[in-house]
Amino acid sequence: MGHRDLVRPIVQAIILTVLCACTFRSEFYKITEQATTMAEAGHTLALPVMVALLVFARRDAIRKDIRRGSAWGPLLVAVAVLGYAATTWPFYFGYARRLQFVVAAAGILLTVGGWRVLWRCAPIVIIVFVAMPIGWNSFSTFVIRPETITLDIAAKSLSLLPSVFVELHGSDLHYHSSFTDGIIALGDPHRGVVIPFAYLTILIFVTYSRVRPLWQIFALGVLMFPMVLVANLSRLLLHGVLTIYGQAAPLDAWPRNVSMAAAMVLAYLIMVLCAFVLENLVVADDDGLPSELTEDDAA
Amino acid sequence: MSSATSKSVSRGWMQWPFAVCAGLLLLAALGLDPLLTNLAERYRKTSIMPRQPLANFSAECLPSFKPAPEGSPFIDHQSDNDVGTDDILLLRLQEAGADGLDGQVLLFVTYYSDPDDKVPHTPEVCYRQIGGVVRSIGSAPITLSASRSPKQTTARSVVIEEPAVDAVIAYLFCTNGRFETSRNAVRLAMGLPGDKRVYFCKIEAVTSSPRGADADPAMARCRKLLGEAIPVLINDFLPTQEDLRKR
Repeated sequence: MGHRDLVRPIVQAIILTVLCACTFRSEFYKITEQATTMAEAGHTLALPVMVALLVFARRDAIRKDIRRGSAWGPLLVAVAVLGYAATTWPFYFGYARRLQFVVAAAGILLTVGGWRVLWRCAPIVIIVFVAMPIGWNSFSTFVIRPETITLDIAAKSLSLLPSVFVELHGSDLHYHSSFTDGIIALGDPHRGVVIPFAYLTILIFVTYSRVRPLWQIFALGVLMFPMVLVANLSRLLLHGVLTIYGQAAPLDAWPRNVSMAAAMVLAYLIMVLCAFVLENLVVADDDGLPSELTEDDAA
Repeated sequence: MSSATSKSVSRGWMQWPFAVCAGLLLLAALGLDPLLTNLAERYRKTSIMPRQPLANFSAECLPSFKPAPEGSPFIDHQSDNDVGTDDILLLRLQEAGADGLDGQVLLFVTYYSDPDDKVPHTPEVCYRQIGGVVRSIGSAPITLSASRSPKQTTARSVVIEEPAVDAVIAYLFCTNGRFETSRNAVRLAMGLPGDKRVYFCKIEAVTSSPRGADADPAMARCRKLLGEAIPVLINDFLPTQEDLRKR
């Protein structure tokens, strides 16, 4: 298929995306507002760029696989519209409303290019899902225990610092040192839930930033969850060190933002390292052809 | 891709899946918000008061419990002023056969009837705000004593580590006669079609246990209290199903 043939699906995708944004406009505004005002939801702003880069990485495969639109596409879009309506009235669930974007995105891809294009663009659907800002209260029951364990580990680790004792009090870490006392990570529960999704978004992006054999995708997928936990713990530890030695006030933004950004970079570097190791574990056959099942083959 | 397929792909900008999809989204963009606003206004549920104030609840209704002695020390409870309603019941009780500090338990009931309520924080969230550390969250079966309500239900069990003792809590919500254990389930139940009026009520039993000790005996006390208190609340205080269907 030549470049001219791509005009139709691209224009159709743009039209449907704009209509989709108009249909779900109230949630669209809320997501934009959260992403621009909450540092921990800022990764949502990078979504268009990440999506564009993922499409660019798969441009040849997508071009090759574009078919007539599937009848399942409008059906999925209809499900998204009905889901959006039902989660607005009579049941109001903000996060469930947001997830209709994911269903609609899958529907648009099916409508424009068919099943094979949806498979090619599965990483985009996944990344849209993960990047939707999440509400903390809805998931507090599920996250309180892992969050408490993370805070417990952080308290014990920070207590190993010379002349520093840290204890968990509610959802805050209280520290006593020879030079000052204070609180670390005041009001962290919300960030503790939201930020792991930012890390997960980065890790998914790194995984799919190039077309890989499926075994590598599975391996990186398995590694993602411990990596998110490690990144989140690193964030808390760094936050603690900066607060204690920088003598920051509990609500100071700088230790929070620095630790969050540093942990993001750490998550990115670890994932890139893992991907590099995996890529170099398997050497191509003598004939130069890859010997593993790839996304292409699976499609 | 074959040339025929390529032709069919490039040809026909108004392929029917695209046309249907675009039409659907256009229609939804223009009409969905006004439609939902109208529906929400037309079928809006209204609030309903309990049949009698919760303050009328008496410990005499509970065969296995008596009022706790005046001034006896007890675990701290979350701020009573911050529960978002005036319909509150806070009873300090003690198991009928116990003396001194043994067998004390708190019955804490709050009643809400705002159709737009997002459901307040649950104990595992609120206790953290006053310094408690959540050590376990699970479920606890409750056997209800004779009543019109179901014989068995489930409460959520929570153990919170506090500075001196562990707070052991069992709680559930009653939403328009349905028992639920999570705020999402309550919100879902509040939206269900059928009833014209809406309420939900959080029923919570709190007791203490020595720090780090087995919480089962304390949890059994909470379960027993809920098993006796819930039927009384359903029979004498909370609105009936008939009342919920009337405007």
